Amino acid sequence: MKRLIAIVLALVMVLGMTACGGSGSAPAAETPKAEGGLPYAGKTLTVLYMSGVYADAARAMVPEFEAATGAKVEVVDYPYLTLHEKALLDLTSGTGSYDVIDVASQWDGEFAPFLEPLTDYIARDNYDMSVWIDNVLANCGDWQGTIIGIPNASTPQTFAYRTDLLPNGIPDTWEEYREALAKVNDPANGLYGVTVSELSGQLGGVFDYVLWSMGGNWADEDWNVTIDCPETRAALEHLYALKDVSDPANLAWGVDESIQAFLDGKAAVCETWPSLGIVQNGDNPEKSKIVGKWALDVLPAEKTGLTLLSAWDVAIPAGSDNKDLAWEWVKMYTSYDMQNKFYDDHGILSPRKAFWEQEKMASQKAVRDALDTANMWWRIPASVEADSMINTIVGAYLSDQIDLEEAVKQLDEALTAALKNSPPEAGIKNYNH
Amino acid sequence: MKLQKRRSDKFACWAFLTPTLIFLGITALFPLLYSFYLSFFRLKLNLPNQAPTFVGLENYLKMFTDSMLHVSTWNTIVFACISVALEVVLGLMVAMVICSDSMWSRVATSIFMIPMIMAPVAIGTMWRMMLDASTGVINYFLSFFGVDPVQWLADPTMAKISVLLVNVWQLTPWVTVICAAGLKALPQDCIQAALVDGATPRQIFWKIVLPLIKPVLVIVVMMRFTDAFKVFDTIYVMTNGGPGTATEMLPNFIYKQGLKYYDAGYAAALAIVFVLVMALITLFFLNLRKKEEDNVW
Repeated sequence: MKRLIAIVLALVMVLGMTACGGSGSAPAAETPKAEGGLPYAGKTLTVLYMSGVYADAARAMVPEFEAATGAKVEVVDYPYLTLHEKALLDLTSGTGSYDVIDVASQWDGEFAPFLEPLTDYIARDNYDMSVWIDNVLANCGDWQGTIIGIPNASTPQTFAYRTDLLPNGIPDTWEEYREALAKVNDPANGLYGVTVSELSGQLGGVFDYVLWSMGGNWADEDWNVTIDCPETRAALEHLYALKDVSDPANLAWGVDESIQAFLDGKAAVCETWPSLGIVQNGDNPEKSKIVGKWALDVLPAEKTGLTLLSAWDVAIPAGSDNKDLAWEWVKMYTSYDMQNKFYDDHGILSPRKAFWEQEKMASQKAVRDALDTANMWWRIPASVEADSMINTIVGAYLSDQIDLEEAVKQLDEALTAALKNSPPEAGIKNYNH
Repeated sequence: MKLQKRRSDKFACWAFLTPTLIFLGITALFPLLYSFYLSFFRLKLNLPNQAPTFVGLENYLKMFTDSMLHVSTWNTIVFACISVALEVVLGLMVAMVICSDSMWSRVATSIFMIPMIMAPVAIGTMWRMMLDASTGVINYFLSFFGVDPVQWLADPTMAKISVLLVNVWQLTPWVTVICAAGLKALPQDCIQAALVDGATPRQIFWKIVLPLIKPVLVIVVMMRFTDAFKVFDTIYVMTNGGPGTATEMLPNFIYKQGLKYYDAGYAAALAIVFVLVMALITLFFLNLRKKEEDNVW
């Protein structure tokens, strides 16, 4: 008996020693506070955003929202890599810690069952949904015909390039692109052809836009995995070839490092999200050595011209106790004036059609056009596992841990396993391919 | 009278223990048992209206065919063995140097403690910046000696070495502090007697100090070994398991199954096996320590 107790206690001790660390800070509970005359006086609204410009924009809006509603607002933010788990844990447990969640569109299908359909709010307030770019709305906020979030930020994957080094912009095919990069590549003088975010977590997206532009897909519309194809091999070989014209450190670089290298004048092209630093700092002499010498262009069109879409929609969890107040936040955050302000202050690109019709956006016609065709990967529950595995496998290939055929084989197995583990609901087609 | 006192002591003993036992039962034993129960079910938490489906040993059998699990297990074993070995050797060496009560020793100990008290995420971020092949300060200093830029985090082998060295940097001080305390507690008369008998410092270390401090070392190795198997934060920040699978460790793998893919059944099965292996390792070291203590005294 003593031995049994000792073993149980040892197990308990080990469990204590192996337990994970504490979770992130939980939002504060509501603290009623009387403020006469305002509709939501005494209420507290907790909103969840990705760290960085989106959370900064939300914080900047708080004083105006509080003045208009009387409510208090707490902005909670997490980096992209942990945002998904924080949001989904809250949604699936129904705890209602957050009243508003800014959802990355690839999570729409996974989050949809736990979000409040906005149909009634839209009808009640005659909220005009025709103001949004159709392709963005179809990929972000609209899930199987139901609006579960309002788009608030949309960036097609575009490349930032040096206008003095590549005066003709980005070529139309990947082969021409590599040739152009090779011509300007000059490591001896601290200049590489391209800088890419290839850190695990970013690399999958890079692989996706090359694959899609070449005409390859993860799966067909009936979810039959089609990754074992010539386009996948070509996409992987292209990424491998980029090693010859990029800093060897790229495999360990995330968005910040890639953008910094470009701003420091160490690369002719930056293959990362320009809205996460280049747009804001590219022409700031204190932060950039390439002032007036850069522009944005679409990716090589290759066969399809498809690029990757990064889009976010603000949604209301079904477990929220402040849905009406949350809707007021959603409306203000996605209003035309506020979206314009967010662009001016934070460089966030709005999915509103009218936003792009302004004079100040005329120089970004290529970006606007790309929003009409940009694509997102699967928006079903399997997408996180699929994307995570693609990151790992492509990284293993680029770092010579596996060869091309093994990489294709592993990609095929990983996508098949992801679909088996989290099968899409019956009737849902794969139109994100 | 004696019997009454003994009963009273026993009652007091249980009275003091009960709150702790209840607390442990709720926070540790119940989750452990529930995880064990869950490990026989399939449950995807990210799918709506999911009910656990009994799958028997499927989650356990999956471990035999999961190649990513095999890679991360191997990575973790190599990481734990090498990092603990380096930390114990280095920690003991430093402890031998600073184990006096002098002022400089106390100052040195305080300085050594700094990496230990830093937050793992801060350590990961700091080293990630320092080890950057292009802009990091490490390669900058190496360039003075004509060393070409080292791809600390972009090359699979160097990435493994980097996360290992950072762990050694971070936790050798902990080993040093424990070993220094153990060394200070050694009976000085044995060492003085050996000196009088003409023993060399090397003989004193191998024949007296090491055997006497072995029980302390066994505990140090046990705690560091179990801790090394839990390595997560620093590597997550430094490499996120990459490039490829080079620095993918078991805790990161289990975390992905549970909190990224929401596969609660498989994650529970993995956690149970992980806890059992850790328990066996702990029991092994506790037995070893008992033997060592018996040998010493």
